Amino acid sequence: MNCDFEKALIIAKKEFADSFWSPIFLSLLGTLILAIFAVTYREILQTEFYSQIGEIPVPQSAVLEGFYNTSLMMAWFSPLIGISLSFDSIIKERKSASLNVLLTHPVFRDTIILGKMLGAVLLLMVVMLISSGISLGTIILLLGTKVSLMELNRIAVWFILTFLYALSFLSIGLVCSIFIREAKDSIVYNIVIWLTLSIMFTWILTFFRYSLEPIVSAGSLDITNSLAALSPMHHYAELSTGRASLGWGAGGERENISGILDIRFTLVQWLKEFWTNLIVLFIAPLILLIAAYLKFLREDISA
Amino acid sequence: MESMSIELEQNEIVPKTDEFAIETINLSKVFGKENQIRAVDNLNLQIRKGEVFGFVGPNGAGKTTTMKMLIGLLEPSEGSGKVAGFDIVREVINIRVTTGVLPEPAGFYDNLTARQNLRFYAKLYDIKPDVREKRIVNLLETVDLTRAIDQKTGGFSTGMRKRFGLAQALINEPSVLFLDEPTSGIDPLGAQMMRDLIKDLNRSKGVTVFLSSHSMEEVEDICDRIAIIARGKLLAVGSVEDLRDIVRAKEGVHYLLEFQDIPISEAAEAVNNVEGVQALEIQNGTLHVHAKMKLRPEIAKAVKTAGGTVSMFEEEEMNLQKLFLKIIEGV
Repeated sequence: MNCDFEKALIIAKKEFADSFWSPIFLSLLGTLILAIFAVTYREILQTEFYSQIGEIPVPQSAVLEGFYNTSLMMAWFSPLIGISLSFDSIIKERKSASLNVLLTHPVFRDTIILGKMLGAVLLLMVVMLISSGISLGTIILLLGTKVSLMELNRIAVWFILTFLYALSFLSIGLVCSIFIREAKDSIVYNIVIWLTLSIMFTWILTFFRYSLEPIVSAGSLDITNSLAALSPMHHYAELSTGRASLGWGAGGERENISGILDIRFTLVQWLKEFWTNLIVLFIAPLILLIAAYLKFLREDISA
Repeated sequence: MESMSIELEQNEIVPKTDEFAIETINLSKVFGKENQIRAVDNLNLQIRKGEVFGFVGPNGAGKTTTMKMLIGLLEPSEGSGKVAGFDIVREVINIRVTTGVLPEPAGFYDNLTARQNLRFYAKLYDIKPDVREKRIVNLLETVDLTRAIDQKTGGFSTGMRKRFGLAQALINEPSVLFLDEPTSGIDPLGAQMMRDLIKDLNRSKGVTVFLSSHSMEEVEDICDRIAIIARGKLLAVGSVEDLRDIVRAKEGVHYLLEFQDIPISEAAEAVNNVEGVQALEIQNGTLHVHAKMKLRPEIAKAVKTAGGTVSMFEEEEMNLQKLFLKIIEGV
């Protein structure tokens, strides 16, 4: 292990700036900010309407209710941000031969990959902060209410969950960037993975369930539930909203606890209910990042 | 591999005072699942400090593999080596700090300007900001890129990229410079400019240059000594004249002669009697003589004894291109 953290930071800063100013990233960020603003705005109008007719939705907090639809938006689009930060991270260095030059300076492969990971992860965190800030700012502006400490705590945990979810896709992108030689192939693989695991996963599971048995039984449900665990979205959806999925065609039914935004339950109760999801959301990106790290160390640099 | 990391400031790492800037002892690299490809085979090199050393060979000869081992990008399978006095396995970080490398291909961060690129590389050597900025300006001036200092490298021509590559290799003021095909793909004028830069660097700063190239003209022009490698084996090493001697010893010497006061047929007969002369041929009034060894005085004496004088006596000089082809013949 030769990793030099100071040099990894130098590389991370460069990676951060490179990604931040890339047209793909900026256009995605702009779209995400606009979408979050629009979705939060609509959610607040709905919440106000429900308040007027005396039907406060599940979390019984107008501030947190605003984050439900933000969760939906993030479930679909934060993977794209993660992917955009990593899908060609190593490919472009290899293709442009800048990796050839970089490796002749006093940095080793582990420092380079660590720097690249740090840069992308930090930028992802900034995006998540901006998104959460936009959402919260819109809520406060429209409702004119103060945010309680408890609500802030829940938003902070929601932020971490959303970050981990997006990090899973960033890690998938990084693994693709190391294993795949062409940027266009990498983006195709990443988009297919994103479509499959996020948006279309509900369709795929439904199709699978009805192919097994036209009439739903406990057995077929068990199988489909196990399959659902393959998708990071499933874990994110359960943790943040209590739903099994936020994908296309997913039902609106919620678990007993409607995720982290449900203030009827304490954090401990939430944790007891969803600890397995939380572990998966922590471990999946970690395993992928370690895989990317190890693969990069074993790469032939002349390739 | 990639050795133990040694936490040192750039300024604290100085080349060791060994006699040789680069030294290898039985350096070998074997590739393949069953070690069937010997890319470099028992390479022994001794390159003196301040020398411009050419490393030539056909494609797949093992030039790039050797260079990668010397700069710590590949671990040798057998043997050892030192660069600037540092071991190529255990002291890689010190080698990287004291050497500069222009690899082939060399790419830069094309979304950054020349200044920003060099700043990034300079930071990797912990060069202080004030020193760094001055050095960047000076280096870009040296490689004639002052006007492009704030231009993105993505817009550079091939020649500019090569010169910029040289600037990035010099950012740490190296004592040893590794150049892999520094003039490939650039026009003759640009190539000459690059050669002049390398010569100037060597003369003015005493930088040892290890140059790998396919251009025999380039190697002959700027290198003090040359190593010829094929199939991983070192075939010959020395100055161009040393290489000529090697070829002479193997192939013999070829003379061209013209005479006065004697018919060429009689002169040819006299020359033919000199011991060591292997073949003769008369072409357009010129006698072509192939001898086993250098026989200049003996041939002159034989012609004089026959009553004539030699009006032209030239040895057919082989340029490096021909020498190279002769040396690698049959390998």
